[in-house]
Amino acid sequence: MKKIVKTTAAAAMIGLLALAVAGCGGGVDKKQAAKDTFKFGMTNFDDSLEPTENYFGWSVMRYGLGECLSKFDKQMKTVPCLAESWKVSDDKLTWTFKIRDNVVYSNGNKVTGEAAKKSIERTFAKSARAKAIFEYESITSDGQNVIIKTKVPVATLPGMLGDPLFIIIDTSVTDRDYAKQGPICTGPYMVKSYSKEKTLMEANPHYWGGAVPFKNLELNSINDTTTRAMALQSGEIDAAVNIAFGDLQLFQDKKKFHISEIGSLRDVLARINVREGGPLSDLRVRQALVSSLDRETYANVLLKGTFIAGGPYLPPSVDYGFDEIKKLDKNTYNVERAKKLLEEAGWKDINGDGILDKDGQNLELDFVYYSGRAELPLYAEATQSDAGKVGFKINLKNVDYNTIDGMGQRGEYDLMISNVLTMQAGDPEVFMNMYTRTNIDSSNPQNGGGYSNPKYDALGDQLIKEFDYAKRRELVIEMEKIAIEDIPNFVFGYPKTNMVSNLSITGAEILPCDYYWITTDIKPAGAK
Amino acid sequence: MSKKQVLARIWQIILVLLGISFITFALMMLAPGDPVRQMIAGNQDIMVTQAEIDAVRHELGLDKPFIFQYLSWLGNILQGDLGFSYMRKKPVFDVLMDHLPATLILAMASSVFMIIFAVPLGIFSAVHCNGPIDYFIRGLTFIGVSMPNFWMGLMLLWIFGLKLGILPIVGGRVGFDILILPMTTLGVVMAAKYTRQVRATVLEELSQDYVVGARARGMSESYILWREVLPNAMLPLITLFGLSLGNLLGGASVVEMVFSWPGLGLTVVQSITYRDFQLVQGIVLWIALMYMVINLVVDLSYNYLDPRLRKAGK
Amino acid sequence: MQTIIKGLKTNRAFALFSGLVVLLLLIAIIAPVISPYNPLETIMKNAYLPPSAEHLFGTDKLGRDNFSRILYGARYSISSVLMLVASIFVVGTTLGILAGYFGGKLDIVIMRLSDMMISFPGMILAIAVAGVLGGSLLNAIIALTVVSWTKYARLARSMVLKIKKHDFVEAAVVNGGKAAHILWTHIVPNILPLMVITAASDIGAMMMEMAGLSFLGFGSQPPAPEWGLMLNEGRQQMQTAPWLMIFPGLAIFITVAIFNLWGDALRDVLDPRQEN
Repeated sequence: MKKIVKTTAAAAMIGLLALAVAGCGGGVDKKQAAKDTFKFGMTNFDDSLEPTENYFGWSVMRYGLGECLSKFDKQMKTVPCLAESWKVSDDKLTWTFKIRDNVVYSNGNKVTGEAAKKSIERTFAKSARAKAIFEYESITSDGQNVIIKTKVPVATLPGMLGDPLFIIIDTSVTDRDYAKQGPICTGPYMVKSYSKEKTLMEANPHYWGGAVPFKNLELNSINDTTTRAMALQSGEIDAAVNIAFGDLQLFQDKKKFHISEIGSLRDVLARINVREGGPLSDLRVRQALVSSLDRETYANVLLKGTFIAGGPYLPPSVDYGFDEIKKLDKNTYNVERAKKLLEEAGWKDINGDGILDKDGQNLELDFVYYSGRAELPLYAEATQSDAGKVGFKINLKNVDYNTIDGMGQRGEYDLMISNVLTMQAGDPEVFMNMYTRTNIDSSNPQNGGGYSNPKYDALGDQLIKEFDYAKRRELVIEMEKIAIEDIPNFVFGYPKTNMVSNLSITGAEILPCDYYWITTDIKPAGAK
Repeated sequence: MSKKQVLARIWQIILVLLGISFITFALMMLAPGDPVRQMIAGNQDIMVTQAEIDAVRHELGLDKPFIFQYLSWLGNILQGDLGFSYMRKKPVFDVLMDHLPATLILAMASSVFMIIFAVPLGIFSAVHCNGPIDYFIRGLTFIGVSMPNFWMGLMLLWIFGLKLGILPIVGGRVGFDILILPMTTLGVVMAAKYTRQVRATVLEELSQDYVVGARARGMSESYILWREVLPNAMLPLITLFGLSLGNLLGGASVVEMVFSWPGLGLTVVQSITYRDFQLVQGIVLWIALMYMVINLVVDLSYNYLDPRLRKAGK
Repeated sequence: MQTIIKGLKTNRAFALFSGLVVLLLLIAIIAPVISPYNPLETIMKNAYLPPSAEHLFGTDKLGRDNFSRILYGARYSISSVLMLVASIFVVGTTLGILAGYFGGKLDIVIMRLSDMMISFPGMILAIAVAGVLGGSLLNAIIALTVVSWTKYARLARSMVLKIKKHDFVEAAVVNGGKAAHILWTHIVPNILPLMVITAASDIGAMMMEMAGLSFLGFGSQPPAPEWGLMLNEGRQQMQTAPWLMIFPGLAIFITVAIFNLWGDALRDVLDPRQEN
């Protein structure tokens, strides 16, 4: 009997050993790979590289594969990319984009005005979203020029063409499965193999913008934040985007890692239901609520400084008078003020249960959130606690991410928190009107909270028509001032976004615009 | 089992699949949340207009009544078309084929792991029943069954991936080095569970009359164990193996998530959160089918393995 | 009951584990007395403090005392798992008895339903149900009941079928006894002990299922101090605040282990013939 046991045990051990050895082998191989390969960790939930479908174009651009006529710089200004310049006619309807003479696709074909025209036309043929962005009367080409005539004046057209939806691809290539192999584009890298989980890229030998720093890219989808951080620590990847607030402090050692962190273009926005009958229809209650929340501590302590405390509608990373408007915010953390305001509004704790009431109604609010982003449950719980201290009763409702849109439109909330992008095509117009503009006959269904302010709407109308950047900026600031005064919605905080890299590479800097991750600025350490 | 019984079982499988598909379909339809919005915007938190949503909904036929959608789905299934995944922009069948290998590999590997440990330990424990070795092994199995598998998975990842650096952390592909940790995580829990079963089965056989008889005839203990007890104990063990394999084919979601192992478990959780109806349907049906087929095969194998039944069959 | 008392006296292991179970329940009951802090009280400036004399298990993301939360968690987690087991027990046993006793169409319907549930990938169904109903403790209990009742139904049904053949039951039927009466006086008392053992030994496993569902975000909701949920929250700080992951994990592990060992010993005591 003993012999049997020994034999089986030995067999088991050998099996295990074999596994362990094989495991070691794999690990060693990876570390020995020469530095002509850049390994990157990121989030990716998509399974296609067809730029005209959904938001798949974002991946095409983030991976260093595709480029547009224009792009956004660090200040979110629209700057030339494939087009070296553009101009608009006096009637504001005809735009002429001049494409650089040296731009070629990764297959060597020249990008002419005609090629760009065909690419843009393809986008319009395939994507309904393109028409929602702008509508054209005609597109023509003339040498390196592509000429777009719009139906109505479109002030931000160059920025719109910087949307990944309008990535310029070689439409003459027909023998490719764009979804699985990616289109032929102009970026520094091209697809070697693509899958949702892992994408291998190689240098584009025809890249128009100069030398390409890496021969190969290995792009890993590591959607779990903990795993992403661990992979970067262990050296399995050289850089990663969006290291979570819980993990960022692991990379503080400057001798090992470089953290690039900037304010993003996003808000953690709380939508408020201001309809009659709800307690938040009273401005004083809204003011009290916001005053009861210690947004500085949330950002600096709970979220470990990876957020900036909220105030104005637009984040400090964009140039829309943040400091000026922030000064007008009367509702920074002040418990006494909150209590006083609630008392003025007639809320008292008559039955002594710690919750204020009025006319037999408790001061109860439904707070809807989703847990897809780690900061949202945190903000929700912090609100429950802090607002509770001045007499609110906050009922937390954790819902699925894909239900919030419907609930938002139907107004099934008192407070609803979400992480929203404030800039589209480098411009805040869509966001400024989205949740705050009056919803007349379902003209603006996203405003399910029922807020209406004719003055705000009038400014929004002007904004849509205004072409001059300086004037547009003034209008937006005016709207923001109304918002901070009247609190139709409020901002909990502005997330920072980051890219963390180890020192085997340089130039891994995060840009405010979500579209860009892999750029030619990311180089092996020691390279010029 | 006679041919008639087998046919009856197959008929039953079809009925059950029909029921399951209806329940899943109804659940997904009842679920709050708009698949279309998610379909368009993915996880990017982007504003989508109602017009866009309506257009896509109409295009996909999601604005039609529930029963109509179910019947048209069913009609397609009968023609061998499993439908189309909105999330992946691929036929459901292709998505299944993309992820099935990973699931099968993990299920097989952890089942093998389980057997390598559970069978010898269980026998050993039974033979030394109530001795110190038995208590030690039973203690180990209690640790194994009482540990939350996701917790153990994260700890293993932290120790072997990060602290020791000998195993890869980045999953997302099928590879032998990546397989080790999820396999161990699943395998340990199962091994703990099945060691106890093996022990119980062997103990039961050891108390049978024929063992007592064999001892009386002076047979050696190892002869009795190998030639008499184990062949008889094999039957219930094969059933267990079949069941565990069946469970693993659908139940490894949490472990797959922790290790980003690209199997069906991970895919189905994603497809549920994305409300990707047809993909959910396809995966659930597939898992249920495999589970039932495995059980059928296990039952059929009785005919060949059980000497008593075999004789009766003849 | 008498067997249990006898078991306590004669079976040392059973006595020991029963003691531990009682200790766990005691902790759950007197959690408010022994907790140094209010588990819901946030002091945000004190977020993420490591374990110290002041905060034995450190503090969490909102500066709440982790030790107090674990103690209250015993109350929350154990009571919810008991509710779950009770719910599965009642639903499963009732359906099983009905199917077994009345047979016919009712039997066919119930058993086909149970076939379906058994071939359904359990966790996936639970996720789907919890997803439809929305995440909450009650919904998690419903979801897991839907998935787990079949085992009890099958067991109860097979036992009822056996008992039905006994003379005393047949005699009662012939004598025109009412179904409800026969069920209550002859059937239920006979199958109850084994069903209870099954339920008791399932507590550990069910606790794990609950924690798994909470871990995926489909179970208890914040700010409840439920261990699975705490584990899920702590996971994000796994490296920078490991105490938020280690202690809830240990709490689950210890509790599940105690319930498992106790369930095993209980089986030995009540049914000594059957090992395991």
